[in-house]
Amino acid sequence: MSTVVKIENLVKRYAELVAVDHMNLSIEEGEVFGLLGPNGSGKSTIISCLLALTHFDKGKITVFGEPMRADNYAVKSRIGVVLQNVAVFEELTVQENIDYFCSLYIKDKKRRKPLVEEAVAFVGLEDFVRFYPKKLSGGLLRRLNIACGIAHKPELIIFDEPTVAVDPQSRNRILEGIQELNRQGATVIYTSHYMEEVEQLCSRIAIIDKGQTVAIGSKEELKSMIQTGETIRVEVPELTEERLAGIRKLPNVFLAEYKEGLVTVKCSGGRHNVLHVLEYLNNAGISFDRVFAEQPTLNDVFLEITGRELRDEAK
Amino acid sequence: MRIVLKVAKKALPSAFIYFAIFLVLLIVFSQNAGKERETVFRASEMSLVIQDEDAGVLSGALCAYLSRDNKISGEMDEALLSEMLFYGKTDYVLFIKDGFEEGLLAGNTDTLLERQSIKANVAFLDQKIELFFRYVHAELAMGKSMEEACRAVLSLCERQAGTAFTEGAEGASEMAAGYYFFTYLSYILPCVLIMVLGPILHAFYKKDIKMRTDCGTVSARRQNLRIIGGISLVALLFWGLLILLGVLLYRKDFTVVSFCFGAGNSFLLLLVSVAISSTVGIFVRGDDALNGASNLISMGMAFLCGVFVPGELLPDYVHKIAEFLPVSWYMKNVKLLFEEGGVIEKSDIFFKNGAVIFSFAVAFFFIALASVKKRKAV
Amino acid sequence: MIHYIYRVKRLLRNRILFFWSIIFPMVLAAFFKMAFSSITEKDWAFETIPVAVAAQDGTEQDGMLVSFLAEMENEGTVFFEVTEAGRAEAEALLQEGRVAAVILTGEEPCVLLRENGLSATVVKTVLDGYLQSREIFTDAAANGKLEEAALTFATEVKTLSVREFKGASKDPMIQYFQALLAMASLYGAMYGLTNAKELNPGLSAEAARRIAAPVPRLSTAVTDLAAAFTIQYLQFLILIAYFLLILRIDFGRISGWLFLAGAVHSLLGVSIGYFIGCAVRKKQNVQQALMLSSVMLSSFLAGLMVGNIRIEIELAVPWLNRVNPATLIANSLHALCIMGDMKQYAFCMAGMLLWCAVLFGGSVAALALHQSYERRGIKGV
Repeated sequence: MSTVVKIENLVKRYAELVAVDHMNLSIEEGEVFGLLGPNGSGKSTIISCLLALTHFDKGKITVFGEPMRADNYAVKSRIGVVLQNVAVFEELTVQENIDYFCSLYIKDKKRRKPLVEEAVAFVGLEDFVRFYPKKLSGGLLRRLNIACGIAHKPELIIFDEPTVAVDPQSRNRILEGIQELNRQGATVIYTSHYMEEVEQLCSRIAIIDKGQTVAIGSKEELKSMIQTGETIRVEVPELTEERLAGIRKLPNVFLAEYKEGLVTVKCSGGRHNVLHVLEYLNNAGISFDRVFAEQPTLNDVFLEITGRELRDEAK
Repeated sequence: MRIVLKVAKKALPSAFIYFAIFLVLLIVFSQNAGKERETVFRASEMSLVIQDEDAGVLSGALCAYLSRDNKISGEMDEALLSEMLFYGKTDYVLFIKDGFEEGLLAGNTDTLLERQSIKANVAFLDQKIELFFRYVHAELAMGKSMEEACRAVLSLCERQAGTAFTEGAEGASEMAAGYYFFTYLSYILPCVLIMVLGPILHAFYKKDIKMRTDCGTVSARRQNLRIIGGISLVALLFWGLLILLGVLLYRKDFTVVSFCFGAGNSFLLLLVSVAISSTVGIFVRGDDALNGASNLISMGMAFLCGVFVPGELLPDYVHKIAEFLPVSWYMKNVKLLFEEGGVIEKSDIFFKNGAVIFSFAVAFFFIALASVKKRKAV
Repeated sequence: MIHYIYRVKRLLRNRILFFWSIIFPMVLAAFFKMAFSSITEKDWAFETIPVAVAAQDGTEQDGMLVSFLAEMENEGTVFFEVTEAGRAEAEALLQEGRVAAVILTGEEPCVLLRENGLSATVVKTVLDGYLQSREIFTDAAANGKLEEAALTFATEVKTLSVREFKGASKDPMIQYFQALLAMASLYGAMYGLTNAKELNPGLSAEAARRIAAPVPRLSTAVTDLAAAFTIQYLQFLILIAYFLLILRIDFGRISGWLFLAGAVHSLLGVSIGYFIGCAVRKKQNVQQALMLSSVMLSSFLAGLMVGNIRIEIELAVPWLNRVNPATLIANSLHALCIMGDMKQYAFCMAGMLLWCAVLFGGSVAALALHQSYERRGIKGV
């Protein structure tokens, strides 16, 4: 496996704001690599730098072993882009849009024709090829947006938040499509602030905050980086501070909180944690209602590392 | 209300450019405007350029002779001269070649004196010039020297026919500067109002926002009233500013009464403009489309209703078309305003025209309301 | 080539662009045609003036004056249509507006008028001439030189000769159509604006996608420009055809140079939009509003609304006519088609090409400046 993208020590400033702060990343061939972070964390800026759309202040970006520059067309021709904002032309039909963007990569009309048809079929827009983008629903528009980016069969595809404001049906279709592209051999970079998507899709994930990589690895690796192994929530109508302290003393428990009739207990690994908690409550004669036990999510990872929720919409 | 003003503010830069156009129009035409009303004869001044290469006694006398009733400009560049003729800044050019005076004495003036004009109605000047030379010839024949002859002819020309005006005659042939103010107002009002009010209406009657405001606690009637209030405020502000400008610049052209009539007339035009803007604002989407509609409507009306081109010069069928446009009725009143005793004596006509303008306003307003209702029903 | 074709297709299908660059000028031209069709004739024609001649109270009708008036003519058209009438009748005719003036003959002939104006001036001038001629004979008689004077008066000497106006048209209304064509060309700025937007990743997602592709930016820019130019030029041809064939406007001499001028006009229009798109870092609708109103102002100064504003500016602030893009366009047409003044034409063309160079240069500079600001992290860009 070879390295497709290598970002070293990347710095990008906008006025006083440091959008990307000494970032290092390495993306291997065949990966679905996720960039996860709240809005404004610098994901899109990294993508812009990676595509040589903007200048950056410091650092080095290598794609397919070559330095990425605005005029490195050999490298550019191997990349496909699906950006956050729908980038299609209102005045061209679905078919023409895909053909136009494909033509930027492939000059030969004969070679292009089957590729365009394939892309149309891939995103399921066969019934809409003669439609103008204005007539398409939000989800279909997103699919067109994707088709325009992948028709030329790129080896590296960059998806920048492709599912923002998309209905669940289209979203699933898009995610499946990305997996399919990956199976066909494409390396994928996927940015999102939806942790579920990233978790479902990506083989490796970098968590980004304030322009820095706070953690990187597979989702299992990421989850093992944090103390939380399991989060248990129990609905308890009443609980004294004394009993709460009792819960804290249980094995593996490193945090217990009581708020609005809900006890949240965080345990670091180990087995039978739920049983211990329930046993304790039972023995103490404390009545309880529903019980939830969760494996850690990427949100927990983010929360534990940055002290903020992923959905805080940090700006 | 604040939101309305905020939306309106967006259109300010464009509105400002049109306001600049209005100002330039005023500046250019105020210079051309007549100074005072006349009750005595004044010759229609022709604008002459005399390119005098000869610069002799005779050519000097000819200049003096022509300058009695006409405006004479000195020599100028040939290319500019052609432009002056073409645009009607100069009516008549006289070329006096070197050696003209000797030529005349020798009886051969072939191409030594030429005239150029593109207007046929200056033929009387040709006659006048030929007459001058006949006088000179006659005086020379009487044995006078050239200088004496010229002097004699010039004093002869002091002999003028008497003039008198019939009773009730209108001496004024040129309009006062204030006339241009009210005239161009009829271009700028609809133009700017469509551009400024359009986005407001469009914003409030956009489907989603309409639904949201309908869901709010404010009743539809009150909501509409609020929008109307906001629009009226913006329109009144703009109109007020323009009228204030009129007062400051053209005080001397009006009596208080006539200015009030003029302002009242323009207020009716304001109503029509607001009503048209409402209709357009509801139908036309997008700033650029609105800009287009604004230009098309305001310029179309201005040209067809004799704002930029005097109404008397328009062909009859255009007059008939213009009957269906509010601006032409407005212009009728503006003309009344500047005719002697017009508004006061013919106030019934003034009010009749006003009523027509008002009914245009009502009609457009109903169209606007109907289209809002229709939108809602869909 | 494929990019060029798609670009042309796209720009052609954009209804707003289509409206501004072709529908709006066409409709306005139709309005112009309606408004101006009879102006020149009505305003400038040599018209026979109806006058009434009446004797002053207690005098006889002056037969000599009547025949003097009736005989005056210009190229076969008589100056006056003379009605001999009694004084009361003549005054009634004047009141009804059926005659322009009443000449009261007698010892001291005088003119009775209803209003000042050209007709009044002509009548007065002719009567002055009659009086002055009479006086000169009286003088001559007093000096015993009546014979000499009479002889000179009898000899028909034509001193004044006519120099023809060299312009191909004498109709100043043509300048409205020149200004209109200027406006239409400047609306090519719409295409320039679109080009700028779709070539700068900071301005649109489409641009980002295009720049990310392996096509040199310069080549994209040139393709876009070529497409915009093609359409704008096509519209110039359509408008010219519309003027000449449908509205039947006498546009003056039509030569190959006109089509070269159209090319430069189109380029100028596109470059203005491109510059605004690159240099004015505002939202697209702000850029558009700014552009549309600047075009309107520029066209206004070139005579779109008030015919002779170009000459007024020429006299008051001549440099404005040398720099205003719409005036340069209108003047290039005027010099070429009406005046046949190739020097002036070349001057206007050079002016426009200079503008194009400045605007394109400015666009590149604005982009570079923006990038360097961005690099240095200066706020507000």
